[in-house]
Amino acid sequence: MKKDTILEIRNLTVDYNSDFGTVHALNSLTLSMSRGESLGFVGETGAGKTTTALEIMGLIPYPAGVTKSGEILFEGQDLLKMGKSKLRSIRGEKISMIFQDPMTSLNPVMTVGDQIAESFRIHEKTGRAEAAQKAVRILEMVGIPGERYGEYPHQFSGGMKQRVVIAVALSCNPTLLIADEPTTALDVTIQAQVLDLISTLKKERGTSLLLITHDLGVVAEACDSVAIMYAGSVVEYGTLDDIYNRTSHPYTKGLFGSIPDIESDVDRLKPIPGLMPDPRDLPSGCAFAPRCTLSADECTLPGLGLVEIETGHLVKCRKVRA
Amino acid sequence: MNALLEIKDLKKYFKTSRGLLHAVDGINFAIERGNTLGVVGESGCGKSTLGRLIVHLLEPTGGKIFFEGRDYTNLSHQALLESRREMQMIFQDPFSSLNPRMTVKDTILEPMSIHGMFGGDQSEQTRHVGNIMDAVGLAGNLANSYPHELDGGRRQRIGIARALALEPKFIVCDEPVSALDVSIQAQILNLMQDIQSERGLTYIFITHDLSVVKHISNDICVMYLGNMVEKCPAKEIFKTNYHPYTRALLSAIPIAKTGVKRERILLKGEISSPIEPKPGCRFAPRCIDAKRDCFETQPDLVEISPRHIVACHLYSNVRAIKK
Ligand SMILES: Nc1ncnc2c1ncn2[C@@H]1O[C@H](COP(=O)(O)OP(=O)(O)OP(=O)(O)O)[C@@H](O)[C@H]1O
Ligand SMILES: Nc1ncnc2c1ncn2[C@@H]1O[C@H](COP(=O)(O)OP(=O)(O)OP(=O)(O)O)[C@@H](O)[C@H]1O
Ligand SMILES: [Mg+2]
Ligand SMILES: [Mg+2]
Repeated sequence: MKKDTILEIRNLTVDYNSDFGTVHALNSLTLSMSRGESLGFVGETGAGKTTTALEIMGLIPYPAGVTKSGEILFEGQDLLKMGKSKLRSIRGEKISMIFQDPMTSLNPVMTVGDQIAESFRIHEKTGRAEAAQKAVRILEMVGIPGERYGEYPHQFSGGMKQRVVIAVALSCNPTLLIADEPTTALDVTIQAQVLDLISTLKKERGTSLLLITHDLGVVAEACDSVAIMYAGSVVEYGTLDDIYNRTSHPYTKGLFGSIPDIESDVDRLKPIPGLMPDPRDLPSGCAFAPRCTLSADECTLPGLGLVEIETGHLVKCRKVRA
Repeated sequence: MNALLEIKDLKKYFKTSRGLLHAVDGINFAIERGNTLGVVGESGCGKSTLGRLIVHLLEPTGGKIFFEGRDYTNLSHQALLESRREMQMIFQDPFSSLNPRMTVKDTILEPMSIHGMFGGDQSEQTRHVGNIMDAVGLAGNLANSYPHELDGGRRQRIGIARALALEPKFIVCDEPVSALDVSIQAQILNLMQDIQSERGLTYIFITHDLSVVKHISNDICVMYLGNMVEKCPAKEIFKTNYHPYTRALLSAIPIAKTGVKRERILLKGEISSPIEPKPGCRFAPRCIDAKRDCFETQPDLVEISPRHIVACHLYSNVRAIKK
């Protein structure tokens, strides 16, 4: 265990059962975060990023989701073995999550301001009037005029709802903040404002941040380290510098190659060829092999794991060696 | 000009407890057949409302919509139903726009049966569903899955497939790729471009991703609190831009590289409320260059160079110089 590790996930394997087969959402996922760190969690659509977050929160949908094996150590204690009430208090006080879909966490019949104020009342035990004042202030910090306090979620645009959810999550003053695509619905100026706000809070309070996003630009601005996910497991992990300047896994390289470049004009973008694997029927061996230009016979062999190719830079690929 | 769609002084005001909220406040533009107009702007500036007005999901408060030269503003019930075939919308939020009790196949099939496509021939319709699923990269064996069993990206593909089902002429795409990873995003953008050139489709493309909008659009329209503040050819925007809001927006784009520190223009000052807005330029309270004029009168759009228009008092003498 790294020094001052706050979160450590070991060999986490999660399935979803549906009428049409078993989805292997997480396959022996291993990941760790130190206190105060910002980890960018990037990867394929459907790779299992949200599932990982829900596992940490203990919110995997029942009965479809089944945790097959693994450990999630938060401050040294396994969340998967913890009793319900203890888990609830950790989730309430220490870990908070910004959900991908803002409406899952907003109450449609309560004004946005009251929802934020309520959170201040619960988490900081502030009185009614002070909580309302704080709510107005945090609304303005996420770029919404305070006078819109008394409106309901349906009167807000997609990005405005998302900012309310962010405000609620920040008001909880968590030790670990899990943010699932928090700024995807925001324009870049407000996104920058929200990321600044999160980073200020991080500095003041030493909050750790697990930032799930598809935006490699946001990761470059807001994170210290990066984990790249593909088909339910981490395929590359390292510092920003490792991932951006010594990109090693063929999937990660493909991601960087797909981004439209602001500075040049191209007629066609270059996505990674091939289709995502069916999560119900993953290939044995490397899940990326069928789409990989480097793939060879050995890539279909089972038993592939993360290998440290340089200090702290881990890659899950037989074709990439130290 | 061969405009497929033209809007004139289009407005949408919502009633709120504290007065009228000017979500879209007098927007004019035309889109040529086969082109894409990108729409960008601050979250809450009225982009989705504009899109909904155009496809008749909302009633405008004022202004006109012309489609293929015909006035489309006030349609009869029958004409409205017809217009649904020609104009479609792909939504921002794949979670709430899909019916949780409908399988992927039924979701795509439904508009076809409502509109009696292929003369109501069900086996033709089913075949068409297969083709479309293929085209948007949904594996055939997902046909009987339900939206909640799928991740965000696959759900968004269903939305795209559903919009394509009726083979419309015009689609408002409201952040269709923002839930997708960058590789699948690239696939979908390529796909949308292919369909566009094959079928002569016209798009309005709303997004927060400025590199995507530059890539996909012919022209880009920048909105701020219900107004259009700048419009120009897409390829031009990063090189030549005028409105202080456009400049702030461009300066905030996060770059996927390490060690780039750019001068970001920070927007300070009070954010104007769209409810009973004050006179003058909506951006003035946050604009570093604001003069007295800016707080008093709303600037008109001026054409600074061909196809490049700006609404800002800093350039109000430009037209005079050019004349
Ligand atoms: N309730 C469920 N029932 C069945 N399958 C599910 C369920 N929830 C998720 N899945 C499947 O599990 C896999 C992982 O989904 P998850 O939402 O964790 O992906 P993600 O990485 O967050 O994707 P995205 O980037 O699109 O948000 C996907 O294949 C998805 O279809
Ligand atoms: N049904 C409604 N009732 C009242 N106000 C509304 C309604 N729908 C939208 N608004 C308001 O209209 C304005 C524009 O909203 P709209 O959804 O068009 O913004 P947007 O540009 O699409 O934002 P985003 O980028 O966050 O999606 C916002 O101030 C919003 O609060
Ligand atoms: Mg997700
Ligand atoms: Mg919108």
